[in-house]
Amino acid sequence: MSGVVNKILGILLVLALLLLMLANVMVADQLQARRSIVAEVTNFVDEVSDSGTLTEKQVEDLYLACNSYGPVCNVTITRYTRQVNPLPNHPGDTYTTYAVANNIYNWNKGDLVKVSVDEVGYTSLSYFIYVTMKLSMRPVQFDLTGRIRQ
Amino acid sequence: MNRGFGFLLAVPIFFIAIFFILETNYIQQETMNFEEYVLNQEVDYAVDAAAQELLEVVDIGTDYQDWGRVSVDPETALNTFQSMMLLSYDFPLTEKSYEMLSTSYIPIFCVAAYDGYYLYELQKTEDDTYYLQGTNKLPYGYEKNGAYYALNLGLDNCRKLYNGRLTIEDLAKEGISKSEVLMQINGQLSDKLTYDFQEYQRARAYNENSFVLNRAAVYIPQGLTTMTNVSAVEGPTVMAFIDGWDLNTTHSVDAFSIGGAKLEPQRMVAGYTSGGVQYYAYADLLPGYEEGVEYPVNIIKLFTTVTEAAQAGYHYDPKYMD
Repeated sequence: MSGVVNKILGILLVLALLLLMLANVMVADQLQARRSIVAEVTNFVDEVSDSGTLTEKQVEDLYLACNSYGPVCNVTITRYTRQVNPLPNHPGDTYTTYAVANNIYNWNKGDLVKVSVDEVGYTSLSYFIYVTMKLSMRPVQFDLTGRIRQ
Repeated sequence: MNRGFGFLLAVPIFFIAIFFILETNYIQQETMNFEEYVLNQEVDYAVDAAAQELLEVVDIGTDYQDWGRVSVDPETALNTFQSMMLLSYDFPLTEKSYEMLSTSYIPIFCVAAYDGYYLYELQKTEDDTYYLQGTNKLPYGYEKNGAYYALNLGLDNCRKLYNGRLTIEDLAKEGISKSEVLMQINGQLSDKLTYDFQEYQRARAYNENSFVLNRAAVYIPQGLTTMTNVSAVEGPTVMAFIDGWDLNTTHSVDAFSIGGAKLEPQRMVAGYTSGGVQYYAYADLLPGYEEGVEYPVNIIKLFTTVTEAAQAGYHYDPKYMD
């Protein structure tokens, strides 16, 4: 009797081992995707901060590039305008603040471009691993800010 | 037979257990590496921005020859660096955020100027709190053949103190080569930063009763290498440490970066009055002139930087600048 139970258990364990191998594949995939997404975003920030221009096509390219590695990401581009104003009651002194602007297609020197990437969807493999084994990775979430040079 | 099979089953269970432990460890390591990578990228951007800001605030009529007259404001660089770091990690730009950042995560911030460097370090106050305190300008000193020299990044002349006389001498006449100057300056900066960072680590370990010391050292390529894209200190620049960064990361991570920037030609800023208020905007953003149409603004003065315009009492004009 116990022989049958042992056999069933054995088959289950073999299945679990197979799944774990898949888990390893998933982790490797995810890690590679993360680095690639960061590389895409740095490319974009460098491009914008060096040239000081941004077109709708570049934005679309960024969205597409960030979503082409597996994880579904929400990419947001924010423009912070640098505002240097006279300090009240202190003639000659200034203070600098940064404020969000809606228009992201026109940049001035000193503005900051911030790209936020948030993962909103699993890849099919990582969803499968999560459902079967409750093994998952921290979702992709990072921001990078660059300064416009000209 | 059955008992033997039971023993056999223990093998995959053992495998699975080991696999889970290793996998978790691996994921943690890689997540930490990833976070450190992102932080490094961001610190690079922030330090670059700080260096650019530093150079733009100075008088822009300068070119390479006039570096001696470039005076830098380290406070501006620090402020820009902090703003960038805060914005990147979704913090508001309030006094409290700045304080949190400068007292907890920036142990050392260094601004290398033309003929000396400024150092910001965490100092302990009497009531056991820390604050980021700047030094006055420390010179790049050098001693050779019994004479004392104050070097600068112009690689042209230096100040010499010998037998109680202070003179300005040519480097060539004194027999000091350019690479020697760069090596001295970079060496001094890296030694100072390494020493101060280790002191800071030791103080912190002592405070927290921890025996773990981070023996980090700073190596600045000393201007002697033939490799390109190595950012040695060759002009006014900014260097920053981030230590124990644990905002939005799973582990605390560290980063160090040297800024690279150079002086550039300037975009003119026009100051004008509109509705009785003094505003400024970049001159090329203002509407073009047309015959017979009254020009909407009355340009009074041109500036080279927005800071200059603001110092003269002109305000940021969202109408044309956005």
